[in-house]
Amino acid sequence: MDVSFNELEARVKKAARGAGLPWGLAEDFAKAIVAVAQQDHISGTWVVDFLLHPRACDWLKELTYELDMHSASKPRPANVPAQMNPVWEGFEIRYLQLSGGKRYPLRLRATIDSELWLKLEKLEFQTYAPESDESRLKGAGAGVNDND
Amino acid sequence: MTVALRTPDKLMKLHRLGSFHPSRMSFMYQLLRRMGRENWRYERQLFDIDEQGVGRAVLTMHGPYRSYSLVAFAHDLPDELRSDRVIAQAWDATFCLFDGVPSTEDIDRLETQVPGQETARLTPTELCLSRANRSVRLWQQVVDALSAGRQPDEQQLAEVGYLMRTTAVYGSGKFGLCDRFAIADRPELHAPFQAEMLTVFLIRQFVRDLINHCAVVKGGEQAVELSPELARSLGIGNSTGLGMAPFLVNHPRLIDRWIAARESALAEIAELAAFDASSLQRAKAKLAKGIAKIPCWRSRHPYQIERVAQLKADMLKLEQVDCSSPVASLDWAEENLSDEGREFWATCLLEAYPQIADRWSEEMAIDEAAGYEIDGNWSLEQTLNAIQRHFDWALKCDWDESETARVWYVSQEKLEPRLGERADEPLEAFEQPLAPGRDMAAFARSLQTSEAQNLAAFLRETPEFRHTARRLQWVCEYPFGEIHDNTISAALKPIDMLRLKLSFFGATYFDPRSDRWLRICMFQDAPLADELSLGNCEGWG
Repeated sequence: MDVSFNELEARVKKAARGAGLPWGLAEDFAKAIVAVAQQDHISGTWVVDFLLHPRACDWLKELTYELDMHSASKPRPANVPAQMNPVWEGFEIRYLQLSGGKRYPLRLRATIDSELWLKLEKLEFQTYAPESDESRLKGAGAGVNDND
Repeated sequence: MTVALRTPDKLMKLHRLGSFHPSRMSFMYQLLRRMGRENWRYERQLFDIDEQGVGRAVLTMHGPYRSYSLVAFAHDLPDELRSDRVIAQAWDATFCLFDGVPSTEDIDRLETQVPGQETARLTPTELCLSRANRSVRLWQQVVDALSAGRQPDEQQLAEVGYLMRTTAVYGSGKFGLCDRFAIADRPELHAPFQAEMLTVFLIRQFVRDLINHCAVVKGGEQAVELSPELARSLGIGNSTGLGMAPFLVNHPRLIDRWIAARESALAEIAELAAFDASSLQRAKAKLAKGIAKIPCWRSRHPYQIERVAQLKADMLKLEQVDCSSPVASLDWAEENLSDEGREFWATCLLEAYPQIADRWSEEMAIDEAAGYEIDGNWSLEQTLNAIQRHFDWALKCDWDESETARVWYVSQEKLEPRLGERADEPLEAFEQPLAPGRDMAAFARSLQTSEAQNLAAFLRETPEFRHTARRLQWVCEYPFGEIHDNTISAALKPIDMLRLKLSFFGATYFDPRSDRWLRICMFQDAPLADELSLGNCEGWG
C-alpha cells in the first residue's frame, strides 16, 4: 500500500512510543524509517520486529549517540537479526544527510506492506487512553448539543 | 535607531497570545492578495445538484501557473445526524481540494472516498479534505426568503455570519493527501496553510451557489438569487476544539517563524522616526474599521465577553494614541491598554506599512523536516545555561499538584486530543509530551546531578530527556516558538492557544463556547471568487 511520508513518520513515531520507547528516541527512529522509505519499498515487518526486540532501546541509544556526535556509524552489533539491517541503513542515511554527503532522490510516496501498516497501527493504539463516559464529555469540552 | 523586538518572555504568555488579532500577515489575507495581484480566474466546472440538494460540483481557481479545484459533494443529512464534533460521521457537504482540474474518473473516485472523511484514502493529487454543516436556523430562513422572491433579513445574517461552518480542514499528508514537501516550493503555496485557506474560500463560493439552488428548487420562477452584497457579508464558519492546541506545542519552529516575522515587521516599523501622513491615515482607518465591527463580535462566554469589552474600551482610548512616532505609539499602547488593545494596535501598524508587513510575510514558512539533529557536543553546563536563559519561568515554577493538574492525552475511542484531570483518572501512562516547561525543569534537575561528559553521553544514559533536549536546542535558535506558560496547569485556558493559531489564519469573531471549543468566521466581507481584483483583495479586512 502507499501512504504519505507524513503518515508514515507519524505512525512509526507513535508505534515506537507504544512499544515503550521514550518520545525522543521514537522521533529519531521514525526519521530513520522515513529515510529508508524515501529509497525503496518497505517490505516485510522488520520495523515492528525491531521495536518489539528487547534490545531496541539499547540499540537506539547507541545509534542516536553517534548521530548526536555527528560521527560515522559504528558497525552494527553482531547479535542483530539480519532482517533488521535496514534500521542501521536508515541511520546511515541520516548521518550522510547531516554531514552534507550523498543526496538521495525523494520518492513522492512511501510504499509498505499492508501487514506492517496494521501492526504499526496496533502499537500506535497503545498510546491512546481508553475513555470513560465522564472523560468523553469533559475531555473534549463540548456539550452534547453543539448544533444550531 | 534600532528598536529591539519585543522579548519572548513578555510576548509568549498565553493571555497575551490569546489576544492576537488577524492582520494583513494572516494566511487568508496573504492568499487573497496573491489571487488579486495575479489576477486569478474563477470557473465553475460542474454543478450537478438535484432537488434534494444532493450531488457534486467542481469549482476551479486558475492561477498564473496552476489551477486548483474544489470538488464538492452535497448530501441530504437528516437533522439528527448533524454534529459539529470532530467525531461526527456524516455532514451536509464534504470537500477536497484537487491539484488541477479533475476528470470525471477522478470525481467518481473521490465520491467513493471524500464523504467518508476520516475513513478516506486519498492520493497525492488531493491537497486538502474538509466538510461542513449548515447553520440550520439561518439556512432555512434564507431559503424561505429567496424562494419567496425577497432578500433575507440583513440583521439575521449578521447575527450568525455564515450559512455553513466547516468542522475540519485537513492537509499535509493526512489520510493519504499530498505531503507538504511536494508542494511547498510552489510560490502560491509556500506560505503556511495556503491550500487549506483556498479550500475554505472555495467552500464559501459553493455555499452561495447551493443556497441559490435550494431557493430555486423551492420557489421556482419567483425565487431570486442572494444579492452579491449579502453574499459578500457572509463568511464560512468553523467549529474547532482541542485538536488545534497540541499543534502549537508540536511545531515550535513554525510558530517562531510566524511570530518572529510579525515582530520583525513591527520592529522595523518602530525604527521609523515618525509617521508619514498616509501611513498614519491607514492605521487610523484600520482602527475605525475595528470600532465599527466590534458590536458584531458576540459571545456568550464570560471570558470572551470581558475580552471584547476590554477591546472596545481600548479602541476608544486608541483614538488618543501618541502619534509622534510608531515606537511612541507602541509604548503608549503598552502603558495605557490591555493585551487586547496592545495587539490590536500592532495590527493597525502592520496595516499602516503594508510594504514592510508584506515583505516579512514571506518569511513565515519553514522546512520542518530539516534541522532535526541534536548537537551532542554541548557541555552540560552549556545545556543548563540555555535552560536558564529560555525557561527561567519554568525553573521558578514548583510544579506542584495544581501546576500539573491536567494531562494531555489522545482518546482511544476517537483518536482526538483531550485534556484530562491527573488526579481523577489514570491517564498518566498515556500523557502526550505537551508540557515543555515541566519537562525542561526535570531535565535541568537531572543535568545538575549527572557526570556525563557531554549532552550526547547524557542522553545515552537518560534518553527520556531526548525529546526535551531537541526542543531546547530549537528554542535557542527559534525563541518565539515557545509558550512561556504552563500548558498543564489547573488554570490553563486552551482557548488562548486556539486564538493564537486562528489569528494567524485570519479568523474573526472568535466565540468560545467553553474553555476548550469555539466558533469563528472566515473570509467574512471578502470579495467573492468571481469578482476578485487587486483593489478588493487589498482592501479586505
